Amino acid sequence: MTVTPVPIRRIRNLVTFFGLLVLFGCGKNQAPPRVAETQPSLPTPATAPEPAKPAPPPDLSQPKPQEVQAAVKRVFKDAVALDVSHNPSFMIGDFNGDTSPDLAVVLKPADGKLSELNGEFPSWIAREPLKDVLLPKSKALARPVPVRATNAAAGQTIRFEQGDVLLAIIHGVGSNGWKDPEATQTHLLRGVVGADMHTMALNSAARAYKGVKPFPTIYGDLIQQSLVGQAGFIYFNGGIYAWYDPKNFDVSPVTGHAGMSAMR
Amino acid sequence: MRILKISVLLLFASALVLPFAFSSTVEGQAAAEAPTTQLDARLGDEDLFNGLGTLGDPVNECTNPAVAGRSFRDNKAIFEEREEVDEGLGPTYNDVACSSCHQAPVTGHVSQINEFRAGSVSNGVFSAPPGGQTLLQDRSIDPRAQEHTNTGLNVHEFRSTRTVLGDGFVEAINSNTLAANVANQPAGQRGQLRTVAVLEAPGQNRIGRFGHKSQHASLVSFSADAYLNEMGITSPLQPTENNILGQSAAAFDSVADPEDDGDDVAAFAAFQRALRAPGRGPINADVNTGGSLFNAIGCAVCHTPQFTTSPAGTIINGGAFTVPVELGNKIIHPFSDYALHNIGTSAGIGAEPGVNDRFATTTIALWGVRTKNRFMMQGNTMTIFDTIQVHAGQATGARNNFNSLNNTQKAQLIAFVLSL
Repeated sequence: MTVTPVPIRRIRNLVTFFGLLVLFGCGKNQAPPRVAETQPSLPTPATAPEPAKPAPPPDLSQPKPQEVQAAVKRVFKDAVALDVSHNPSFMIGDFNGDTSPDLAVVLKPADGKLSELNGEFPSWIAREPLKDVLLPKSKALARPVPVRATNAAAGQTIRFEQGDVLLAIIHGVGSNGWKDPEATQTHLLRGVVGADMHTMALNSAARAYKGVKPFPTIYGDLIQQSLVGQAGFIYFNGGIYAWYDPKNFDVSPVTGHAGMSAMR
Repeated sequence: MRILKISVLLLFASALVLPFAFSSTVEGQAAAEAPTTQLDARLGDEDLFNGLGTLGDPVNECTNPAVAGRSFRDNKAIFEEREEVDEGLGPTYNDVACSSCHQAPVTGHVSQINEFRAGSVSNGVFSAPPGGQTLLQDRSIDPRAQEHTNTGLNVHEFRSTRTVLGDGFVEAINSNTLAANVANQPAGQRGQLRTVAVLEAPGQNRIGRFGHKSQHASLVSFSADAYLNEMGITSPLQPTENNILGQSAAAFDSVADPEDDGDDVAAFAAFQRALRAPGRGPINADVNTGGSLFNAIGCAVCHTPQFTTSPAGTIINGGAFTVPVELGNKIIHPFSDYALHNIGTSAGIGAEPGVNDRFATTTIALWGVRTKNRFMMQGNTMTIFDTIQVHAGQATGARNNFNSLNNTQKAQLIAFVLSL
């Protein structure tokens, strides 16, 4: 059997061709595409452009007691009852300054419902604004320290008791304000229902307290009143509600620094 | 001979087919998870470095001083460097180094430091302070230069430090990806994306993603802005010194502008691009259930759990940067949509052009949130529970859904957030 020799040139051509193929494949693998990012067309956001003219003032007219009851029930179910022994027992204002009307209402724990009020994960933020201000100075306000959950997830910071007088501020949603079915964001404040409680509009407050120093940053309407012998007000500081009176206010991390809330 | 010929032909055919069958092109690769840091300062630079560029040798001021752009460690040292007055610090400033705020638990992450902004609102209309700058720096190099608010500035807002970990990957997200994500959001929760100028590419715009108002799209632009506004150091991209509530700062500034020749800004950007993304904490069954609840009740609409970055080779930032292999086609989990939403927690400082709603702020990325103890833009809530409760506006539905969960579910959802 004879073997015909393969021409050298043919072998060389084949090797060259093969080599080019490999090189082509490798080159294709390593070079990333160079494509410029294009400008997207942007979807319409939910928030409309700000009106050139100021928005109409919110509806701050006095509500019917049934409407107040419905709003309270929406948040607290049966855990609290309206405390009508105070006059007024509810007020309307834009307390957090978002232009949507809010409801402030005096409440008391419902009989036999403390466990619902003291649940580990309430649907509200509970605070004691007066205690935040005065506790460092006055032992008279000190209550027994409640047993605090060690779970970092727990939301309850106050142990409510029968006989507490509470002020709930239910934030409004949109133009319907506190009457909106979604209006459930609530701050529940203990120990801040005093004498001569009334609202003061933000603009009026800016005029009334012009030049007063030190003075907190206020975001919305105020709830003025006298507490422990001092005239002052409850105000929203961007995160929580706090108490101001000229005697006791200082720009402390607890009360003056945009909601640096104390966890007691 | 015939067998030899057939063998050679088969070899050719294989050579032709194999590169396509087992393609390793960037286009053909499946996206891979981005490298993450364990957020543990004890693990050192290796746990921070994502592989872009070189890690480099440890920097020593005496024997091996930092050189901008030489390596990750060089750029990190410049990011951590304390600036001095003769280097241009001030006249007004917030702190002396990038890492003063982006510090814990590892360089690039967060701190408790907030910046302070102010303005005035009259009849619902916002005005910036004299000079147009809403940022009032907390420090100055001369007491006469210190900025103070006053009774005319009746709106105050704090803005907390955001992490820059993983921001190289965030920069590499295609603007169209962000737009598509927002387009899929329910109309009532849909956020606003901003088109902003890319400073290093004059005339070019891109979708913003950095800052509390998504005011920057590129890390170079962001770094130049922060160098000026947080440290008072001008650079070629931000050559004009801040004023002092409308008054010139020239009398207090003895260093000629630009105070940085651009090297520091470039080093800051390079450092951020080479950072890993924040890694997750321990994950257990409760955390997993909480994650499902997080999606189910609507938190994930704005806190978008996942993006995939652009492929390597994509030209971004108006032509100023090409996505490298280390950042391209990577899956990241920032838990932000980088869009602005009004969730009722802003004081409404709003001097930003193109923002529909002055109360709207960019969704805070939740990756690495477990290392923080103050939350929200203003840093004014101390627990995840309170943080959820203060969500309002476009987040009202999600908050109400949370309140409808039972206690076990609420604890699981919070456990999930604290695992991020």
